[in-house]
Amino acid sequence: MTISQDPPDGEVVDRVRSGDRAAFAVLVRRHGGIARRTAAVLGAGADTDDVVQEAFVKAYRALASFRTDAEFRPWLLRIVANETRNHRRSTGRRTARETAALPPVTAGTDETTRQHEDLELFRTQVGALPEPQRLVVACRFLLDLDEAQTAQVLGISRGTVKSRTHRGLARLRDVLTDAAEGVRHGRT
Amino acid sequence: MAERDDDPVRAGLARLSAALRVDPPPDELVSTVDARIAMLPVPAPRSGLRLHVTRIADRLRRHRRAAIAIAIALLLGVLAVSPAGARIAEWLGIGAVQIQQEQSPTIGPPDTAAADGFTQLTLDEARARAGFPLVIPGELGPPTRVLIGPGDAVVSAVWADGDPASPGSGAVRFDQLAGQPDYAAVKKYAQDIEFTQVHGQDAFWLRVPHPLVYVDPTGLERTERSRIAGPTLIWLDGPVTMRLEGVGAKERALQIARSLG
Repeated sequence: MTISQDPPDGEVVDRVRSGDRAAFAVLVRRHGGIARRTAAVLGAGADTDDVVQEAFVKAYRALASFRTDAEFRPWLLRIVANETRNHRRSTGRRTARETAALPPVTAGTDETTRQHEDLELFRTQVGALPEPQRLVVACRFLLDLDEAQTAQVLGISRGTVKSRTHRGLARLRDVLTDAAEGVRHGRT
Repeated sequence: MAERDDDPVRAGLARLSAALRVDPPPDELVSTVDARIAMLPVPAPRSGLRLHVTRIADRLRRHRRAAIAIAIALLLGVLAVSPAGARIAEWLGIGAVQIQQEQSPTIGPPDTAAADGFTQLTLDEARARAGFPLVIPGELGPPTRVLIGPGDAVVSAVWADGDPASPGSGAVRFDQLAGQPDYAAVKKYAQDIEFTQVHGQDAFWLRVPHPLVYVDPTGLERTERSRIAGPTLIWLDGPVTMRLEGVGAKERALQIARSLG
């Protein structure tokens, strides 16, 4: 996603670890966008910026344990995901449920009002999935992470990613079918 | 991967993904983070010969923090048993630590732990994946199974037939957990704990059943809800926390702990 990968993350990490604190800014700039999107999509809501900031500070502190042969981004996003979860937990269950689980959608230029409403509705339906399924669906389809990356970011096994994806999609399919039935019976 | 374009759910998710409005991070993110990390120590990896003296001092300090982290968790465990416990914990400002009282715990065998994100692999594979050097207690011989936990932060070795010195005594499990001390394995709900030592380091002997709780290197607290642990010895070896579960006698557990190699 980021085009300028020069110098590579691994080299920047090495510089930070050898005491070049300013080099960490390269990582913050490079991955700040995806970190923020991840926090927002996983449900950080109004506290997204706090979560991102906290995650970067934690990442710096944990940098000693980062294995330079690994990819930096999923490692960072794991911390972002944990921080989002901790945050949602600490704000309390009810608040977490009331908080919109997904960021708002923009209206496309060539989009009809009806299409936009449908998308809004779909957004709420995805946000209303049970948390384990919602997180997996968000990682796979809204952050475009593959199964292995999703497993790493959420700290679960690939098998669990598979089964939760399957259940989440099945549930959304049911919801869409119900809505379509509703349209046939109700609106026409 | 095989995308089905005709699937309205996947198509809907693709549209949603494109339409979600997420602003870029604020300009001050870089400077705020920089200001906050300015007072933190350099996150140098703890390996190599560099800064040997600092490492030893650092290790001592980390050990003490680990002991405190475990002690607090144990204290909370004791507090949680009394009705006022939760309030006292709140007063201590440790509200982030979740306390749940388990109803009528039953002791699960230590070899049923393939749940909760653990996957089975060979000892060599585990050595390659774990971010720390693995050790196996010589007293127990080769393990029956080796499991690796979420984030490769925990490696568990299981002896299904138990301690060869006392046949028929039930399975034994040996866990090695990576991470900085505040992320080390912690135990809760201990009503009976004995302080002891392994190789001069503080160790804890827990005789009573207790749920197993640990915090992984990224700071996430995990509870193995699938089972309640039996008698356990916990001790620290450098940045790694060790726990040995399923050996009923303390002296024998200590003997096994000293046979690491």
